[in-house]
Amino acid sequence: MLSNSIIQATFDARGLTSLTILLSAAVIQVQDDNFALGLNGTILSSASLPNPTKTALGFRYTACEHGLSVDVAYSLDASDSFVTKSLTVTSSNSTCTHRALPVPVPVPVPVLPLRSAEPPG
Amino acid sequence: MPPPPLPPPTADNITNVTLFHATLLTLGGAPFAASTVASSHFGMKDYVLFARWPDAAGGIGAMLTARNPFLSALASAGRASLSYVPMARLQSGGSYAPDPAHLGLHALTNRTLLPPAPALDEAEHAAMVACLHPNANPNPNPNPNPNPNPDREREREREREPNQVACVRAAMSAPMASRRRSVKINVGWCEAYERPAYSAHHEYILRD
Repeated sequence: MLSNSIIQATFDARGLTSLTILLSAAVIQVQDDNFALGLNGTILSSASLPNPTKTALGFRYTACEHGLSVDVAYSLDASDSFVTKSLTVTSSNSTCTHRALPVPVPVPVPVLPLRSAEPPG
Repeated sequence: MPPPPLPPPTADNITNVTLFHATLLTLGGAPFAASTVASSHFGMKDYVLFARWPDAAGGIGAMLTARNPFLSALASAGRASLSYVPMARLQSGGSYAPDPAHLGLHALTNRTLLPPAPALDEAEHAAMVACLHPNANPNPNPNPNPNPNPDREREREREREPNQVACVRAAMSAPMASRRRSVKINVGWCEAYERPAYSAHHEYILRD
């Protein structure tokens, strides 16, 4: 949970779940606090990733298929009426085991006999 | 026997960053009843998405934005999305930090900015300014007026505000007739070393 004198934010295992204005006690429920990245022409959505691990400032999603981890950090300064959500995308190939790519099989190239150049007769 | 690890890719092209992806916002189980997007008048894209629950607790609003003037903000059926299109390359073993997003709440004042400004609630305008202004403190109270001389206080506040805030304020509230000329300057937070593609010109309004 993050809070100051203006608002309060609560979280579940995947991100932000509610924001409350303390003065009026109005509570906004937040569902599907997702992010998405366009990567090499494909879309990586946090909704398709397994539950993240908790970190000091937020969550860490791991996308093994892409060899990436994405840290999502939340912050709230003392006088802010908004929560800040910061992503950091890190190339993390060493932590994942990937599917093996098919090994290219060399195609035999027929060896044609050399023809001698014969003068037209 | 586990499959052997793949060789790491040399680099990834990050071509889209969606900071909020179809995020559902509800108040008392009800999705927001209205929304509006404040966009650039000067060839950039969206600045901010405001969602509104006008009938709840005297009027409640939510703000979704990021420190990037080239946003695409979408709202549909209570869900909001906020994205932009970088041209970033993530090297193997490296990292990339997209522009941070902000999700805030405010109590609506039910006072709307006068035309030709966009039809924003005064609290929405104040929330956006406060988001850009590191020292601003927007009061979510719908009827705050503790200062006996608010005009002078606003004047002092404007003297302290940075150029980015002055730009947004001018773009959102200045009458078109007062825009006689303009000058384009570079804004520092668009020019981080890792994000040269964001090097952008912002147009400042000069009033005679």
